[in-house]
Amino acid sequence: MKMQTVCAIVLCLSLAGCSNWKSAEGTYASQEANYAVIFPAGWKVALAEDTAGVFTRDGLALQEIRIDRLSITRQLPNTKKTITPSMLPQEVAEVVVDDISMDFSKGNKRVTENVPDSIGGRPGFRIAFEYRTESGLKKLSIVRGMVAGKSLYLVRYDAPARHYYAKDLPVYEAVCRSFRLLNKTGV
Amino acid sequence: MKRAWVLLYGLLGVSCASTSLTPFNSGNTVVLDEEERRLWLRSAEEEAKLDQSGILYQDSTATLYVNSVAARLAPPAVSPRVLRIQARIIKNPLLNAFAYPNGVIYIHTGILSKMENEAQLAALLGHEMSHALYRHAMRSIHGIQNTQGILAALEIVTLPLGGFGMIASTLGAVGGLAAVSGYSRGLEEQADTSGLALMVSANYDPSEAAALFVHLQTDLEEQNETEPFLFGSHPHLQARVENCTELAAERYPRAGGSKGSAEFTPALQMLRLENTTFDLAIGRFLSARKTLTRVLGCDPGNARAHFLLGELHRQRGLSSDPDSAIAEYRQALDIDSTLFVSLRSMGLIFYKRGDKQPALEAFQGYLRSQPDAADRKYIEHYIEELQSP
Repeated sequence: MKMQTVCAIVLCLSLAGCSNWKSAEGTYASQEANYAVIFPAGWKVALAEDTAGVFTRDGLALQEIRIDRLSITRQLPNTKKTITPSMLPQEVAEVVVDDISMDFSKGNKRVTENVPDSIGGRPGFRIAFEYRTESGLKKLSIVRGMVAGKSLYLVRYDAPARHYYAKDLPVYEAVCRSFRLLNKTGV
Repeated sequence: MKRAWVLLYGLLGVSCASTSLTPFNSGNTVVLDEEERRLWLRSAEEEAKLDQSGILYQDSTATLYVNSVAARLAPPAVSPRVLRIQARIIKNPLLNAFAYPNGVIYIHTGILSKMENEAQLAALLGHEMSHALYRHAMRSIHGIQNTQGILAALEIVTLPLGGFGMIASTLGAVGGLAAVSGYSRGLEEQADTSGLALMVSANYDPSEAAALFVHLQTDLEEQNETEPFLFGSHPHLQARVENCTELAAERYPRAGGSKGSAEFTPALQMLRLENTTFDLAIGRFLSARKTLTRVLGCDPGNARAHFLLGELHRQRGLSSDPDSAIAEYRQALDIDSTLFVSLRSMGLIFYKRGDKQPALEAFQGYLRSQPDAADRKYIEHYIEELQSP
């Protein structure tokens, strides 16, 4: 099967999926995950679960903002380490970096930045990294995170390095600035 | 998913039962037919993908050493122009090793760092090499009309291993067949038999094959976890233990042989430390501790091992860990005063305890010696807070 045919099928399938996506424009609040953010026009909710929200404008392969609320008692997908409320943001970031580095589905991973930051008015961290997908596409990712109560909040932006990452980075920054917890304890 | 495995095993089982292919070490000329050439081509593509994925361990000391053992085992009858036996190391703490049909063997740092001597390395290389020598991949799919279809199916089956097992998806179909689904019982036993013969020919003690697999089994039991690859599977290891023990007793009751050269420990020392960082990242503190204890057992003055032991204590977070971590960091700095990252980690422990002055001194010392430290902004933040009235 020719590559063009494969691409056409993939595009059709992804567009078919897109038709059910709801608009995320304006304030998007998740009562279950206890947060609210503001999205600009054109952004849609690709996935809305109790612990995760995934947002995009043109399709998940082109840009994705993902907001996770994870229980700190549960392990991250690629490490058995857990997070405790007494950890410093740097120590929490260390666990998140470990989780990224042990994700073997991503090739040529490189953490380019790991610095203190804040989100939702709480001290946290910002980690930037690059990687290649299995098909060899270079992608850039940035994740801000913080611990509130017994939850770890991660707000991540992921897009192809070429063209798309820079294009929607300002949207991600604005979304992070708008991020707030609905219940201040974060539980 | 189980049904998919059963179907594949069924197909592969039927095919290999009815197939006989001349082994590369038979002394006869082996000519690859179109189907096998396609398989080799596919293998080369998968190898290229693996080699470019940034997961290869680059330290030449370990790689050259492992290849020297492989060269010692390779039968002289096999011309490198026909089957080029070559070993490559993958940075991964899980227990795994597998061979592509063209003789390229991949070994994880995880399995290498668990070995006790060169004869055990020879046992693993001999087993994997034998899969290539006896053309097991081809025998497994020979006779099936749609080879590409089977490979595609294998690719799908190897995909959803989740978590650590995601590496299986980067192996591709041929690598996945060798590393995840494995070959039929008969072919695995043939690899045991041939592997032991290669060990004996190279004057290695064949009893070390079973010893290796027992050792890996014990390690898995201690970790109390499931791994996605064949060498991380209890039934597979048990079968290797039983078969190798029986073969060694029956065929080589008085073989003797050596446990290998003294080069083994120093050649793999850096690799063990590197693998410990992967174990720590995954959170396998027991495995990391065992490896570090072994490293320090033969090299008590290894500053990096002391630092990593400190990191283990700091990251594990048991009540007695902070004091143990400080002791290890101090020992690391006593041995190597340029291991400044120990200062950073000591600072973190003091800072969390509220020991302001020692924390300040440690952080300031760290930044003085590492002005371009990647975590400078975190440290500056701590210093600022510690200096504020």
